[in-house]
Amino acid sequence: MAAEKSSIITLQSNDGVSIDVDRQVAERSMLIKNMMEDLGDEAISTAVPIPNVNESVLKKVIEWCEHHKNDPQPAQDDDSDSRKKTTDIEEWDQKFMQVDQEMLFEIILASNYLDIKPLLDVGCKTVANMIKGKSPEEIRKTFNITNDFTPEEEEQIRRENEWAEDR
Amino acid sequence: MSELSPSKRRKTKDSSAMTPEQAVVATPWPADALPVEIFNLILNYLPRSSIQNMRLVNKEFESKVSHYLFRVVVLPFRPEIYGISPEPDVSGSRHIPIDSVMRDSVKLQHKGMKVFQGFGRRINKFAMSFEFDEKQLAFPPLKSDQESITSFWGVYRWPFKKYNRYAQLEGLEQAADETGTMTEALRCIVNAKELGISIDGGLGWLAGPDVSPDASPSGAKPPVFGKSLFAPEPPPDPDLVVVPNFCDMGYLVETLFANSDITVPAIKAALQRAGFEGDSLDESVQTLLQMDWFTDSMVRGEGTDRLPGANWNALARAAAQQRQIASTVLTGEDADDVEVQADLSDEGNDNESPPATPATQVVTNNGDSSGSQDERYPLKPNDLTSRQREMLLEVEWAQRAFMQSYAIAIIDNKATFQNIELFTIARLPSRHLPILRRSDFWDSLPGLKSLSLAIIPDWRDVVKLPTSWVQDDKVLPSQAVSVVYKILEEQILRRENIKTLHFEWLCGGEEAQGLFARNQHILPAPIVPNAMDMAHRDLLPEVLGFHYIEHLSLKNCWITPHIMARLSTSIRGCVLESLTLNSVSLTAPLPADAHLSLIPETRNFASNAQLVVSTAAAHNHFVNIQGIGAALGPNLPNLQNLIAQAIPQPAVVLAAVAQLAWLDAPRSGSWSQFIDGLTPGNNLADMRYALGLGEEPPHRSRSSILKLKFESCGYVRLPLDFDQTVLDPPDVLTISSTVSKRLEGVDRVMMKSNDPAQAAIVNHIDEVEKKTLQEGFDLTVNWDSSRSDMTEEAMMDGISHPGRGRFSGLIDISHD
Repeated sequence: MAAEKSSIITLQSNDGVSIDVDRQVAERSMLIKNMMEDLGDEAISTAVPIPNVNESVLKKVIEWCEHHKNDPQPAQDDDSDSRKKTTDIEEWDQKFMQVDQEMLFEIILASNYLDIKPLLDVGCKTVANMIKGKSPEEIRKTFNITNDFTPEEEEQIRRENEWAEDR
Repeated sequence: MSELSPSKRRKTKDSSAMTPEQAVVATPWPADALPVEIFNLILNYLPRSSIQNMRLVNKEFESKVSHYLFRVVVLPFRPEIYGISPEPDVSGSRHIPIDSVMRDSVKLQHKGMKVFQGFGRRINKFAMSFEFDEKQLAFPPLKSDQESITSFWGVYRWPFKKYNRYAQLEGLEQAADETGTMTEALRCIVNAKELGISIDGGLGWLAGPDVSPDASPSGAKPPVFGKSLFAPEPPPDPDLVVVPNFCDMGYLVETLFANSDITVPAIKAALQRAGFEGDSLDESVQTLLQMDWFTDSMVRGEGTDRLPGANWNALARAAAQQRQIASTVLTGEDADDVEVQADLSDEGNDNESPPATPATQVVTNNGDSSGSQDERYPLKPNDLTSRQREMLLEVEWAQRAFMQSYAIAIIDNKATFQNIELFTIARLPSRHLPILRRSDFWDSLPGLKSLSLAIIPDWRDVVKLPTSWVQDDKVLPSQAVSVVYKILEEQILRRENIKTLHFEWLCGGEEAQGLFARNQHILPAPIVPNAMDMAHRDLLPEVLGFHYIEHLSLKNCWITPHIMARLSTSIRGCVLESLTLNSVSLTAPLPADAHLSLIPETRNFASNAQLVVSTAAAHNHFVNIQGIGAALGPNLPNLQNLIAQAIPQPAVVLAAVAQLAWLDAPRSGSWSQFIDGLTPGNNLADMRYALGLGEEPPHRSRSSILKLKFESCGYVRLPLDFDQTVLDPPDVLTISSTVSKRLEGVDRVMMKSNDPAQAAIVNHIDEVEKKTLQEGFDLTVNWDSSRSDMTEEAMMDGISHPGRGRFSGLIDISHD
């Protein structure tokens, strides 16, 4: 079993690049883990295509998985309030997420596709922290978004925001 | 090319050196790249205010975020939905006709309806709220007593021929009368599983100035559905937030403007000095300008940015004294007790006289200086101004109209609400509950499984006399018991679909705040037709049967032991699986055939403090320190001595308690006895047998109960004439000088009730029973650290031993 866990598998990005990765690291992805369980040895001998992720993003994701390879697997239905409400991010992950916007969202999309919940959480928390406490204009500036509302539409949304309470 | 492509930039930049902020700016937002699912994950970590701001970023954000924001909606019944009705000019000369107000309202109503149509289907939990604001009651909007009449010789002012209304409340009432509109609006809530209402009209207990000086006014509205789905809002920067304490506003202004002219810039400058900024500053200026103390003539001066120069003290006194004249004349107080003065000249320090008013005569209470001291409180719960009474009356009218429309809107939307599973009445004045006592209302919620009912008992009634004078009359809060009993008996408990029921009183108790409310004013559980049916043992009242209820929860109420025994028997024959009692108390056992009455000394709060305390102690009728405090009024500084003299030192009884005495049959009428009979687990006889201390108990028929949950339960004392010595704590009650000072300060303005059914918490439990609960039933006696905040608050409210003698815990065999 130990030998099997330390075996190397090959992942192939959507731009055709093959990347060798330790199976234990790759299995941080529930998608890959399930695939390996389904395919068995066949998956070890052939490259596993990752059609939605390009090389640079895949390498970045593997970097994260490498660092977190010994973390305990999250519970299947770990959707508790404690998990979702805190936006604290550990220091290494914070540094890891210091990337440009395109890469940030590609990591989020890749972790969603590959089903790496902890990485998805870190990505979403990073974005949430960039939004929290900011005015609409500041959010636009942060993400380089163009305001496509008319003043009337903006006014309507403001009124809708004040329409109800949450308590 | 000024911008590098993303791939090139990634290769040339050292990403580890960038902060996300720096890194992000140059890259345009990847339009439509993120699916709604990812947005949802991000929204999980954001407070509501951030999500509201996200809706304003661009159309993509708006479309992907809005559904999340409107999952839970508590909709305030304010003119934002049904139209804003501007407050009319106070002088009456610029009075806006109500039809014009309603025309504007209809326009806005249309917009409001669009929101219902747009977001209605996204709502999972929907509640409507209509709550009075105690701060607004303290400073009611200005309202003229006179109208301007134009005649051939000019314009003159004359009292209104009919009762003059607050335009906003009148508009609100008319909006509430729009039953068809509400029906149409609620028809849009097609996917909700939970409904709720939250109504408070201010006719229950009013705290007024009974606010702990250490209590931080959060300004947060009370919950309706409970815990928010959103991440918590970040705490506001304490340096930027100034929360005005409206209770002390009069005092603040008096200090700020002593010996100076009152002008709008002066008010602004003074408030700035006091730390108010931005919107808070403008709001505070407006609040001050609307204060009762400003006369009509002063407000007219607002347009010139200058109010008539006057000394504040003189102004405040003049306005207060004018009100007193009106009150004296209209309530017909004994004229012999008042002295009429010609002017204010004896107020030596005043530089200027108050502005001329029609009333040049000023009345003061002869020989009682405390009256003027009370003037610092803008809201005196036991002595409301006529404007405050009128406001309460009009709020009541509007809320009655609202409730009637709401009931009909639900009835008319039976198809829409067939999937409603949970109905939360987060707060509702007892006077409005009968509106829901109709079969067709409950028939319209056929899928209802769970009902939560929290009722505010009325303490007063407000009525408009034919003369247009509005008066308030005291009402016994315990009358609400019958109202709740009836709806439970006639409607709710007859429905097989309702499996979960929670009931609580929103009146006094352990969670109430204030010296005069905490641990007091607790009403009986509405399981008997009338409140005093609990106490009168010569009668055999009906006790509610919970035939279809599987999960019953009661909060903040009391039950007498003999009624509890009958309830236990009744429960045994039902399908009840769990019983949760939160701050529920038992009384001392009542003597057989008792038909009790209020103890004489509480009927008339005597001025002789010694008499009150001695008598109370002799009969063990001590309610608690606050109750006595309220009775004693200004004589409080001597309270400790009086109590010490009056109460005989308790006998030492605990030393003789045998080690296993807790295993013996419990005291009749105690919690231990009740739990022993109802527990789904082992009872005391089982335990005695297991320890070889008793015979094998005969087989007992167990009830269907699998879970018994207690949260801070214990005992209460009643103000009734019977032996309650069994509840006596061994120690003498003490009161700190700070608390006694606060008691003395506000006692005369607080509401008093001679309700025989209002009980007070006893922070004591017998040592043997304590051991039975702890050792026998694995319950925790006394509050633990999880209630440290509440302990602190209770101590500020003069409770010497918060949580002492109260027990909590869970007896659960559902997993066995």
